[in-house]
Amino acid sequence: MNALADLLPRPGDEAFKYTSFQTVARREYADPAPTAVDTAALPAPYGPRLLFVDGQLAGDGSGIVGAAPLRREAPHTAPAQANALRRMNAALASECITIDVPADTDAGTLELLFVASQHPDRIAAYPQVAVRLGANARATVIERHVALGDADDFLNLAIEVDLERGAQLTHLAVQRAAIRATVASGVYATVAQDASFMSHAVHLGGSLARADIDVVLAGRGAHCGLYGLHLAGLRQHIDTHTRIEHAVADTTSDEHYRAVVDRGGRSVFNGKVRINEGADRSDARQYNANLLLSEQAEADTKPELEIYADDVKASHGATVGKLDESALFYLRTRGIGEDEARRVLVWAFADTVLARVPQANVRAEVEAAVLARMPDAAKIEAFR
Amino acid sequence: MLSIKNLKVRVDGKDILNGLDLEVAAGEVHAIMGPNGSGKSTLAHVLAGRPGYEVIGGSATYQGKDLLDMAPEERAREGVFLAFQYPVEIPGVNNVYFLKAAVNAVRRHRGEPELDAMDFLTLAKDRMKSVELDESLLSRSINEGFSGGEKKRNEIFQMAVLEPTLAILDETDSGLDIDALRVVAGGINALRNPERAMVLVTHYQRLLDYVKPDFVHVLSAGRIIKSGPAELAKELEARGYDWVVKPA
Repeated sequence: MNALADLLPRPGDEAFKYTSFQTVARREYADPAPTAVDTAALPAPYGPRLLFVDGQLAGDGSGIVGAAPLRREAPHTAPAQANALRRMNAALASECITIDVPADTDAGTLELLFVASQHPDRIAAYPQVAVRLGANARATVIERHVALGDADDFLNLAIEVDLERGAQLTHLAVQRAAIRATVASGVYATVAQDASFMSHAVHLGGSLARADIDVVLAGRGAHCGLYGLHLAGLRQHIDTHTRIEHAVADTTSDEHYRAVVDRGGRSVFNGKVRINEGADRSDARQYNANLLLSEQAEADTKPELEIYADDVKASHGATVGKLDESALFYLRTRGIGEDEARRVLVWAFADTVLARVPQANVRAEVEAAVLARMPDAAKIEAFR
Repeated sequence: MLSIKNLKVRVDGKDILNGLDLEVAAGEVHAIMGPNGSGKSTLAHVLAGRPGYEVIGGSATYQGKDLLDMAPEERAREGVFLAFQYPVEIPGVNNVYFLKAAVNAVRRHRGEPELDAMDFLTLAKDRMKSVELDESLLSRSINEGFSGGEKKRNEIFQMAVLEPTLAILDETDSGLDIDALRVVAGGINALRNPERAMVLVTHYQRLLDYVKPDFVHVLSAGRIIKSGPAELAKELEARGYDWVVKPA
């Protein structure tokens, strides 16, 4: 056991019932050293970029990202009810990178690029970011994880989101961490009156990936939409826990997560929706679908609805299943080969979520990345 | 074209077809009728190659080849088409791309050049008219959100695009109102020609008022127990199946 063990989620912690961080507790980690990365090796930016190398903000980080002023602050403390990972991030982060978008401003697209460099030592890092949108401000923040090596690092990222009245934030997460990495990413959002928080997350990388999305709909007319895809292959465990609190009346939420799990992979989805007393006319929808491609694939799905108001609409649905044999037969009777038919059906299942990603260039990246994980992707191209 | 001899098929441990014989020549339309549970749909599906249908005896030869030895997609590429009783909804797979891939799979198999998107759309739009299908359905997912009638017309539309040599239509009339039945029947009749054979599986004879078969066969307990001309269907309608199944 290492020095992190006391801070990591403990066995028996209900929020980590299916997802253990004990491998992290057993490993030794170094602090990230200042590392220069070859910027030519990085993907083209989607917008003004904040570059984090091994979890540390590269450059002096001063000035402005696009239209948004940037500040380096002391790390924020975690609220009392925060889960173990967020508390750990707050305890170990060296600073908080705060992006402030002034009221009535459209900041456009900002990119947070997390790059794992090629390095000899196993590294643990705790980046912390805060995004604040003033009244009626707008922004898209892309949280992008890429690896230049195959390090089995531990990244524990926390992003605080504070949306004032009428603000609109779109969060796009493209998680393509190294296949041996452990990635924890938490987004903790407070959404004021008439503001909206939209999140689209695609998790492809990591041996252990855990995402927490926690949204408090704090003002009337507040809305959130949470959408995501897990692609879990051999020795990959991908977990998303969402929590949406309808704190006041006339708030709406919509949630749709899918997972494709191949041999030796496991996906976990836990969707909690809490509708507080007095939060009347709340409307909460949740759906989670899991496609198992092998007998040696596992998916755990758990909707949790806690409703303390009377006049609400709340729905949830969850499915775990194999490829639809009747659909497969139907395609084959039209001349489509069996392998191709299987791939097309897997692709169609996944693309239901990917097709919702609002920004075309990001959508193209995640679609290509998902296609690349399917053999003979070129044949599926014919169906797009 | 199709020669079925003493075919015996087991599904989920139950013997469904028990020595079925049928000869279908090019240009002919055969109607397979029979009460529920007689094995009609099993016959349609086993000819299309549905997995899980265990052939325990007999043979089916199509254009001189062992049909039962071929994978479903090979049969399709060789010109066998099954119109489903319950067409499958496939969310996320676009009708246009699916059907274009299907057409080109057949064309590749025949050594013909593949159709590009423009040529395919021209073909598809032309064939949609024959079954009065709305063009907007082309850009939707396969059968998703289609009405019952639209699904059946979509089957006939696919048949018109794929131009099979042997078409097997499984209860294509079920669930159709009289107007939709007329449209579907018109689509089927338009595809009748001297090179193409059709097997219509149906419980009721009403489809046969619009698509006149050359032969009618009565299936009972997995065997054809009576065959006759088109008029046999009328007689079945008037007298019921018991008249043939349990002769006095």
